[in-house]
Amino acid sequence: MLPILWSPILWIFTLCGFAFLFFLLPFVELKSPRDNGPRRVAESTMGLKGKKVLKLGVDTIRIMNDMEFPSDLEVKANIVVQGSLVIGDRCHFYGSIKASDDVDIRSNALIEGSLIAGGDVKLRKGAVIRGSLDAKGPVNLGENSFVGLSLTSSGDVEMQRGAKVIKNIFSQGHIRVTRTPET
Amino acid sequence: MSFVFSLPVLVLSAYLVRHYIFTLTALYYRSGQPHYTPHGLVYHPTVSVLIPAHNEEKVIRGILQRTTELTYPEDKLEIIVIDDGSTDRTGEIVEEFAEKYEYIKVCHRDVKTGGEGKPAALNEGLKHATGEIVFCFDADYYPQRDILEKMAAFFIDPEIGGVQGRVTVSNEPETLVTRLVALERIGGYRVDQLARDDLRLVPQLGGTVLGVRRSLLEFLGEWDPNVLAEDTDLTFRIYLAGFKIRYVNEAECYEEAVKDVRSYWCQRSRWTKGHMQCAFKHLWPLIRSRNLRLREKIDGVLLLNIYFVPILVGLAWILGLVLYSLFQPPEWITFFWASMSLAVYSTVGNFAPFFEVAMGAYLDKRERVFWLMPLLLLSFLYNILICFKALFDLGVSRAVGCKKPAWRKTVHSGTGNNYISNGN
Repeated sequence: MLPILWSPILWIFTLCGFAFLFFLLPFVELKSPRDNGPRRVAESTMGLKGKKVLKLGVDTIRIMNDMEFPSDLEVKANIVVQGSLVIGDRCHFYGSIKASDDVDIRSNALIEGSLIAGGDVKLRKGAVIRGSLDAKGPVNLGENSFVGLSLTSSGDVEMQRGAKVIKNIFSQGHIRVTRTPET
Repeated sequence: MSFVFSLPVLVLSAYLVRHYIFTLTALYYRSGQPHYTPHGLVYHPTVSVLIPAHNEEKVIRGILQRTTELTYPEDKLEIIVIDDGSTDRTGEIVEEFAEKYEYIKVCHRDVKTGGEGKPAALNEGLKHATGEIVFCFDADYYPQRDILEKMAAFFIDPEIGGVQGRVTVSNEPETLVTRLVALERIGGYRVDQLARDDLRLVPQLGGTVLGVRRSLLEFLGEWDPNVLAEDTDLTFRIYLAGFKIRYVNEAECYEEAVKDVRSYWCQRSRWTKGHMQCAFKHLWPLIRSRNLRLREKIDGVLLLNIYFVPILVGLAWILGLVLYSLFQPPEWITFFWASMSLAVYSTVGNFAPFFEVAMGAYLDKRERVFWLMPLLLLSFLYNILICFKALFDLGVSRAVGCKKPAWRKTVHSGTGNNYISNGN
């Protein structure tokens, strides 16, 4: 049997141990945060001030310039761009997109419809096109990017690690599958 | 005697059940509540947006700039900033915008009459409002561009008296306190408010990001300047008048959360006192009202008394400890301790609100924010102190005949805007 003197010390040790275990995870997360927060509020409309915009029918918008959509946008309409197009990180487009020049789709953006481009197409890390992709120029599919239907390109197609095309790839150039170096 | 000891356990069990019902509802249940979206509607009532501002020079430019980017038709929109006795550059900044944009108006209250609190400022703004629907935003807020369309769409239903949008903390990574507030907001809005709306209970107006019919406000007699939680007060006045409130989860707005323990204490203390005032004011009329269904009354009673729960827990702990250590405990005391511990643990300490926050974070697609949840225990313990102090202060102010407790404003530093990067 332990002497009575040791009893409070053991209690203190037990309590400290419990507190350590209880607050261990918060401590780890506070020291090196890995959460994807803070939450980003989705924007469902676009800042098109200074751009010439035509509305085609009820659900399609034509933009008569180059266009860059900022991050975290949520767009319900189909978009037709007379120029090059950049889609910001984590944007969500519910319709299809057509651009007469190059298209750059930044990381984790999501297009529910298809993409038709008159120039090069770059899909950055984690970008998703649920429909098909049709490009006049070369296509670069970034790490873990995704095309839900077929991919057609008049140039080369380069696929980084984890990139997926669910249906066929039609390319008039080379199809290259590369492995990004580990960082 | 055993009944006295059973009471806290019963009350805490009721809150436990409530938390679980809300969480499971947010996860799985989609009610038949009609959901109005602006995309299919051409309903654009005239709206007045009230922005009370007392010494808000660090944040007022942000929200005013944002109001110029709103997509609501300009001919149906008016922005009214109430410069509430500011001694800094707030009034000057607002005047700049008012000169440039026709739909932005400013009403100045001088230093003597101003600064008496938000309800008084809102009432001043209401005198100048002409819109059918009155919206309120705090000066540190940053709304979505189409937030007004999303919220105004619900007023197509004539039974709806008020609409509440979601609040999201912008400066979450700033300090430990902002992280805790963000967790509380996730649980409170993404789960609690949403479930109350889905279950047709009592969604609450949160003081900002809210819309109310102007005719109803005038009928109810404006905001009550003697109540510190004018939002809760208005919520219950709307329900007692026979109208409903809807919560719109997709109408989102950033807020700058309090950053330090002292500001957290001041803000929560004001909310607690105001909520307790509302409980004293509305509990009996709520129980007797013929305009509310039984389920709304039950939820309303639980909501009104929510700030008494930490006090009940604290008292039960003290009483139990004293009795347990002073006397040879009878069997029912042991039973009380066991069930009390379990109920507290399950209701307010750990499982239920933790479950609620965790599910809110899961629905928000957060990755590792769950790891911070044990820290909520600290804020709960802190809230016990806040509630005790608030009840004591209210008792003292009543005893000395002071009808209106002092309004302590939350100070905003403007750092919240640094975290907003919606491409603006």
